[in-house]
Amino acid sequence: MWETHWVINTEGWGKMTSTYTATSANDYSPFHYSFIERVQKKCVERFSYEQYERILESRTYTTKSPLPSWGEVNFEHTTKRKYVFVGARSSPFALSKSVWIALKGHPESVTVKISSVGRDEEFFLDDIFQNRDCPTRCAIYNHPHIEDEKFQGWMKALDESTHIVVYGGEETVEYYKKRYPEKELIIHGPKFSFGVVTHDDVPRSSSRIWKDFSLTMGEGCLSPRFYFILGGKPANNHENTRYLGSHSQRDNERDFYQDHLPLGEKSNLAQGWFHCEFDLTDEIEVPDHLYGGMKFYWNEDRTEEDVIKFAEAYRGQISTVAIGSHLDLLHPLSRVGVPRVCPIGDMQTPDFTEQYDEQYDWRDFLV
Amino acid sequence: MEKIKNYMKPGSISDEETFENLVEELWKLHWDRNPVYKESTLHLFGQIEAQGWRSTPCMPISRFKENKAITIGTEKMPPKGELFQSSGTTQGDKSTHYLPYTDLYEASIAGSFLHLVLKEFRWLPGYNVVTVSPHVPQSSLLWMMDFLREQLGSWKLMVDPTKSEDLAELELLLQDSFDLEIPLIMFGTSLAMYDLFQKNRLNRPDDQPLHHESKIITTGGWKGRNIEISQYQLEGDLSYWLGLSRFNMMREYSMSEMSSQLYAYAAEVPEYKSMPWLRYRVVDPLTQKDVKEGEHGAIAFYDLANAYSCPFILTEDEGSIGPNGGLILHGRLGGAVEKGCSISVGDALGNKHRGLG
Repeated sequence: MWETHWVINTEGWGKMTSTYTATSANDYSPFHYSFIERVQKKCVERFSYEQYERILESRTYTTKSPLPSWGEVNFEHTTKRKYVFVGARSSPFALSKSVWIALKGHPESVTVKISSVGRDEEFFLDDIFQNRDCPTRCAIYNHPHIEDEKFQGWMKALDESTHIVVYGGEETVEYYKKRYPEKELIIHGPKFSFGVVTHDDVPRSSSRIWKDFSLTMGEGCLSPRFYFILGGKPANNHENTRYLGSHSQRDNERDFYQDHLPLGEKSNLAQGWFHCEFDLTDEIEVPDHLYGGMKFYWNEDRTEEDVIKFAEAYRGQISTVAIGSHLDLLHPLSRVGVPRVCPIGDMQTPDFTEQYDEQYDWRDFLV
Repeated sequence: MEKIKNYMKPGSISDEETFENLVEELWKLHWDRNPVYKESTLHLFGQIEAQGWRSTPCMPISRFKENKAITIGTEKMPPKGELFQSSGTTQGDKSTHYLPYTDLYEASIAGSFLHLVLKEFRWLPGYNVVTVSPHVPQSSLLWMMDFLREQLGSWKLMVDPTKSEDLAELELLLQDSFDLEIPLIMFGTSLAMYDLFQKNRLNRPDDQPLHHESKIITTGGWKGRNIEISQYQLEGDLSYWLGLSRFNMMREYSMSEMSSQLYAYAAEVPEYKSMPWLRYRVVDPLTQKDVKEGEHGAIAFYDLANAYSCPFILTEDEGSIGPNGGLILHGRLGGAVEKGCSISVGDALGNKHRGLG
């Protein structure tokens, strides 16, 4: 029971002022496979549905302790549930989790709203559910607009839902909290991400650090807001800036985006390339909004233990932690509630099967 | 800096070669002693060798938002400096422009105004000067207006459109221009001028034209205010009410991060001109290469008068080169936060609504 609602209006709820973020995440980026492409490749082309299901099985049942972002859904009594997913931008998590819940939990319905320029998501979900014996009634709304008749369908789904899974910023979250106080809300935003590196990692991984930051220019939950530099003193600000803006990296970006972006977004990109500072102080600021910048914090006395304490203090507010050489942090961070730990360079492109970070392929951490 | 001052002197030879040499010297100076400019250049283009002013990389203007003092290295702060602040929707959007010395700024204001507005080479007494703007702290525009009033005015007045006592005094000056045939220079933000005249707060008999050498200069746009007439219409109305022709109406364009100004005669599509020490290009913002003739791009400025802070600036303003080689403005690029004098004035006038400029 699968239906896709095509809504042409692209001025919908999603504040899609930037095709850069959407298109680079989905279509244009030469540096990443977009989430959808990767899921399609891995789950549809390379694997049969049976294999795909086995991956889900293994990920579901072999993990000793499900991580917070995935563990809050109890599948014992889900058949009467009606899930609504409010996705933001290209919403990879909203998509992957909705599919996961539909396939594993067989709830009564799953409805997804996404704000995306492309339609790959619909095709992907169609692929997943078409010809499958999935009892769940599924629907996806792309840009439901208040003047469009599909909007009523979306609002009806919200009114009838039992669970609302929200991905978005503070305003979005507050809206759903106020409007649907009686429903069970599973809130995924706003959260922040950060990374942990050694001073040696910075020059070695500069292009990967930059990739994590630049895909959405720091304006996303998965973008690193800051890095802890542990150990020896890093190079001076000039040197580090030079590493991050390495010529080849910048040339690649420039050459590529020059042909793909409208003038205004090119300007934003050119102006925003610099919102990235080395702040060698001990005062850590956790930004309460998407500020589009990145800082590096270094203090000679700071240890891995301090990072773990920091993560514990912000339990429930952290989206992703990227680590460089500090492989020892993987499990401790997970134990204090960090839902995702990944190698530097992969923050923005979570793999469909990597949510259980304890299962991650260790070789990928060798950056 | 003396070489730049000489270049800016009225009547000096402002040839291409001298400009190239000055740019080259400034580039070396800022590469060596301006860490923010150097970082920006490294970030954008790596180690470069500039060959001519057109290939000298510009610093994105957003860097003024992050750094309190972008200056060539000064071991100790000079005793007299000025800190200008642009407007913005939040503190983080505000640019700060620190000028350790104001000599080049003053020279540029004077030279641009004398040559481009008054068509003169020296200050001539006998003007009444009125500037129209509410008080905005740390505004470079108000600083410039103060400077011009001091240089030019026999009678000087700063009008805050929100203050009735100012309006009464302005009416007297307007009357003097007619009765005593004293040319009047009135310089104000578009928003303040609109509030002053369009809202009919000023009683002005339409059969008493101002002196024919008077100049009315507006700056800034509507900046998100819901004003239905165009700036060109406002200029038409002003010229009618004050008994002047379109040739008495001019527009100014600059920003708090710059020390030089451009001026244009009022027109539906005004073409701005600058003095030789301020040159501009219209570029692709990613590559900083010139766009094709007639195409829109980001405006890049080479402002020698900005020698103390950063003379090479990539703005977030959209422009194109006009048929006469002047600069045509097309607004802000890519949803950049509106900035500049008019929004500050809009704030001061109690304007709550803001859109993208």
